[in-house]
Amino acid sequence: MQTRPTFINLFKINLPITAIVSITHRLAGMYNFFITLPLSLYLVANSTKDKSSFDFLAQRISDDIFFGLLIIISFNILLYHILTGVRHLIMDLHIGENLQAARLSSFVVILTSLIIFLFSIGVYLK
Amino acid sequence: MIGSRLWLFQRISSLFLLVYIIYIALFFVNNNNISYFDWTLFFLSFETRVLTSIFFIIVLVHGFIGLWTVGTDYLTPRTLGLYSSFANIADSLRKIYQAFFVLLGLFCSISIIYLIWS
Repeated sequence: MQTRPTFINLFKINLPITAIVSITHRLAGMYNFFITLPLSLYLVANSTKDKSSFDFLAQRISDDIFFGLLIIISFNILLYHILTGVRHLIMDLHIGENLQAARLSSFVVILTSLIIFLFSIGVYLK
Repeated sequence: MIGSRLWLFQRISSLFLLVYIIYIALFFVNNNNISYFDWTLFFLSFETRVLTSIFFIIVLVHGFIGLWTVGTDYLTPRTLGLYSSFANIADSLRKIYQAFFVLLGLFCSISIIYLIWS
């Protein structure tokens, strides 16, 4: 097993946009499980406990810019995972499976996520 | 057979997760300046509590299938062979990783379900 040749120089592999969408869907999925899920636990715990902890949480989100950005980035990564996931689901139905359509849908998914991300950052910092 | 069932469950579960996320997102879209009262009235209503509970149980399985797939793809003697000293411990690393995400997932999901029903 260990004598088989392996080539995994990540800096020499040039990924096409379809592969980038595929691998970042996985990475986003891992982020969601390890960061967004525990973050959701924290948010649910503090927002439902009582009124003072709800107000404290709301205040922290508007005052602590790193905390606010962590929430925005985390839920945008969740959104990215959803959009790329829906794209994969549509392709599982054999729709848009040819190279040209796959490239176009990758581009659309990345662009949509980027626009919503910048918009949400803008709304938060306003 | 089990592999294709997991593959299918991964896809079907994602549809339910999506519907729940749209349901929660619609609350935020349709309401401005949400107070503690508005939020708990919605989030701790019986319907939302049931949906949230199902959501976090399905998240566990959906997350498990995804993370297990990632682990068995990348944390193997072959893929870690690049860093030769890691190849021998690849299987142990994968087991530790699997145990970690199962415990973390159980902790988060059970905590959230406990919090909303208690």
